[in-house]
Amino acid sequence: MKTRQIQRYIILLLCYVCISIFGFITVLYLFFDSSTLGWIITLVYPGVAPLLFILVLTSGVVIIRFSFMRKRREMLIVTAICTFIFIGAIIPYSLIPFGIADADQQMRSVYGTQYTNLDTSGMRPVPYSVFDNLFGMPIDESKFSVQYNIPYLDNGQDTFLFDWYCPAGEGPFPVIISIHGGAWVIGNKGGMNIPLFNRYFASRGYAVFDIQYGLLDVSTLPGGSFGVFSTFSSLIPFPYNGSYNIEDQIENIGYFTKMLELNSSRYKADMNNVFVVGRSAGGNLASLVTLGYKNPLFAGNFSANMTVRGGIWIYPVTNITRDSTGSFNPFVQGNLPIEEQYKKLFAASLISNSTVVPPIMIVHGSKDGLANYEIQAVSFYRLANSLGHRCILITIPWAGHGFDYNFYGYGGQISTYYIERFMALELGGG
Amino acid sequence: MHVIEQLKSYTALRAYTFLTSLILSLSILLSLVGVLGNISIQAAASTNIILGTLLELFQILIILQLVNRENEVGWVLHRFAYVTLAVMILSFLSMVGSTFLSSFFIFGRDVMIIAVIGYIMQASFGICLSSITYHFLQIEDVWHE
Repeated sequence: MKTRQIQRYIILLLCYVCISIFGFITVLYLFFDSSTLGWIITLVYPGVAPLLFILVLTSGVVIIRFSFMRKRREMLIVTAICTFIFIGAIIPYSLIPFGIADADQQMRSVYGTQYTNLDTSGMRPVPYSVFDNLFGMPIDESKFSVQYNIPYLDNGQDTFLFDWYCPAGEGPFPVIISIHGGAWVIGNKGGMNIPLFNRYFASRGYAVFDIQYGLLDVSTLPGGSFGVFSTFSSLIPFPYNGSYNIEDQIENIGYFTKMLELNSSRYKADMNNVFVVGRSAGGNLASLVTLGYKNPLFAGNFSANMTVRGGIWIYPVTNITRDSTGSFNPFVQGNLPIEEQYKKLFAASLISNSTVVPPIMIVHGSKDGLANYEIQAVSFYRLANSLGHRCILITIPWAGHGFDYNFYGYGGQISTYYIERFMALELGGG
Repeated sequence: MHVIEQLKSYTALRAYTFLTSLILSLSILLSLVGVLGNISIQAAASTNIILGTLLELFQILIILQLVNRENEVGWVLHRFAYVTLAVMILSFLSMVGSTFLSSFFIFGRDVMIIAVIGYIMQASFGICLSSITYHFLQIEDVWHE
């Protein structure tokens, strides 16, 4: 066999592999987003699919030219597969205008003319821009500084750190406490908590605190396993000596708020204007700060003098109930009986006995296969509104869990646009 | 394969290659100006980028289909079209890569400059390909009947 022929076969093989992989990914994305592989794919695929389609198109052209130049039926099959992958890639983008219209309608219905008259100079001018998607959002680095790894708590076993994104100027500045996700068992501040989000809001005049709060060591779980997160956990070095369940994690976050209150002038923090932002499991913890900071169940846990202006829960976990196996019990154990612990540590039950409920913005992807969109976002949104609380649900069309890890993608852009306006409105803008 | 007859006409191809060059050049220009932050220019740049990329892609496909590889110039054009396609793939991958590198702050800073370089490379190759095609359209031997 000639070298040229071998090259041709290798290229053809690569093209077949490429089309098969993208076909498989598209099937998982469109139809099996709740499966483990499905939600992992949905984590990254929708934001970059149109760009990656060039690989599929090239493979299709090469396959047709090299294999099926005069075979009409085979050509049609390859074309059909490529078209199917293209449809999968383009669906979310065709739905962006509807997602934006829905979000706008929610903001108008909650804030009315306050929203339409809001002074948006200095804010993102449009919810989604292709230009920013390709080349990035502008962030003025001269308007803030960052200090990394500041310790705030040493419990003898571990030292907990935070990063401080400080806007230029005297302050005090409205505060954003940013809580990373990772299913309570992985994740960290810094690179794993979307630094671009923190930088963007620091450049807009918010003092952002990106904090560590402890993680649960999966090896301490009965059976030593927590699904796919055990695998993730084994790939990343566990950053703590101790193991911290949700009760411990929220205590650590509470301790951070107390430290911040004591050092508010040093950190230029306006404790009367605090926003809590959390993603995924961090969304659960953010929900506990939002709903629990004045709740007797968390008495003494948080700073007594802070005022939470709003909770921004991004693809949060709001509702987990005890199942027959009790597999989730180690996460929620605390001083109360286990049933009560579940009610204390999840927003869907906690909201019913919270007297102080600051405004809430939930941002969730409609194809979230990990924190189910209907159960974790829509149901809570309906519940909160039925209880008469201010709750806004921004739906990112066909986006999966962790959509804003592609911060410049459509999910990151749309969420940033509405979060920025939500905070401005709650601070009395307009 | 049946090629659409109109596409084979000299005038249509000439207009097409000229348009591709023009749109791609505009996309580079508007992108550079758009970085300054004007939203209308950015919107115009985005439209040009999408349109230019599609035109460039079809330009490549047309060349692969119509060029006569037996002719020396045709052979060069054919190879150049494949190289442009490869650059296009690299450019798109650079956009995807730089997005995630920036989001996770892997290099401790925003590295979207990689995406900008990638796109300008891709558009430049597209402009060159279109311009060369435009020039060689006059030589009949380069093209299939």
